[in-house]
Amino acid sequence: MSRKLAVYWGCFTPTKQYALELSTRRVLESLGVDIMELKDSSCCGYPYRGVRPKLWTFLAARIMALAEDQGYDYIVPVCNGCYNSLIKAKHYISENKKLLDEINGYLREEGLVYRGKTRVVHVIEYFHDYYDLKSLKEEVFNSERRKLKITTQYGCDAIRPGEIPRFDNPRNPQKFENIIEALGFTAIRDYPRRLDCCGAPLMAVNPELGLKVNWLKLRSVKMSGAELLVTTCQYCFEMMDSRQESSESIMGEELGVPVMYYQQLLGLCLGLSEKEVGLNFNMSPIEFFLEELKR
Amino acid sequence: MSAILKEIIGLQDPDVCYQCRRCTSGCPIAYLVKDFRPHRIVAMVNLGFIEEVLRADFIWDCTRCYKCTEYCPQRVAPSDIVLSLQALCVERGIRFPDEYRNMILRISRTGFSFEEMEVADREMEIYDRKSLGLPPLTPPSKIDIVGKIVLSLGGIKE
Repeated sequence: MSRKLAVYWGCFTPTKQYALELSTRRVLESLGVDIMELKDSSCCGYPYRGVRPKLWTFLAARIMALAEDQGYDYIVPVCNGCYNSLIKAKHYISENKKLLDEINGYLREEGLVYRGKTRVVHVIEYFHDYYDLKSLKEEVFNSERRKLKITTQYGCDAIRPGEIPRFDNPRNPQKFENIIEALGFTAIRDYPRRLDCCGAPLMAVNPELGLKVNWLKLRSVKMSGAELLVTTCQYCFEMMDSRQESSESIMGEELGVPVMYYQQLLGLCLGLSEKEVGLNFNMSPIEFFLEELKR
Repeated sequence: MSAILKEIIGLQDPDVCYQCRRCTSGCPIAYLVKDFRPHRIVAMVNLGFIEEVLRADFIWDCTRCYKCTEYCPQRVAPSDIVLSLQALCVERGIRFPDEYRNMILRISRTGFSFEEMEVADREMEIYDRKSLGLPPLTPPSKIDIVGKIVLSLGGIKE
């Protein structure tokens, strides 16, 4: 049976976080999943949910209307922010008929209609429930990896606010840890600040504060004893990997936490090369983990 | 006044807050910024001190992690209140951070919030989509129509 998947790349991944796009593409190819590109896509509007709420709902509804128009039952946004943006907008529009009509008025100019039929599936949810945990385990499990301890960063947008139905328990999610253990690793299922923010949303208006939040989070990861931090969120990745050094210099203490995308880790386990999953773009110290993985 | 905020983002009624401070106790920003106290923001809104809050810098310090909302026993949603205050700030012309304005302008031209970048890897080699073999990123085919709607909903004149 051939598998197909409609992916929505968002803004940040295709304009900057190339490692995430590369690794996601290569991993899905290796797993035999055909990627269907969402045509005519644009920003999901999420950054503007505070400053211009209606712009947000329009852009989010537009993406879901495109998915309906192109005949997809469900789409997977690779971006955490896009995921939250779409499910929140869907929830919000469903409670507000006036808004629905107004948004559809705008969408009609482009020949689109929003009906709210498309399911929005998180990347973690996809691997856990759609590709499914059992198939993943059959494909990649290796018990020799058990000695390596890995911890997770879900990212706030994956889990909160929990009043909107999510793919996992918003107060103690486990699916990310499950898909890490499906590869053979040991997942650390709890540490202080585990479900806390990385500080990324502050980078637009108060970067120094954002970097401090990031450092506190990373220190907590370090104290958990994990050999690697894994995330699927590119905002968390940018903070915890690429801006780790800036956070260290602002706080005056080095941490040296290795960070990877889940798709990069999965790619390595599938036998892809470091370059194929874009590991040359990771700025955090991942060398030691890579050596251990090869042993 | 809280009715106006409610209209903007459809949040829960903040009037039921009984100031237990659970929001503040778990807030990663309250831990770092002395003036940022979610329970106090809710109290100020309930008491009608909207003008004061709107002009305070700290409403832009929220990292939008929604922890306060998740753990509020009254389902008050302090994070949504802060976001509504930001919306009101913009609507009244008190503050509209340039970063957002520029991003909205960019969507109206390209469809996306960010510019396609050249990125350096660990060896300081420069890459872009083309050199990585990624398919080109193109604006929506009807960007002229989308762009106009984006500018009008973003409240921006070209």
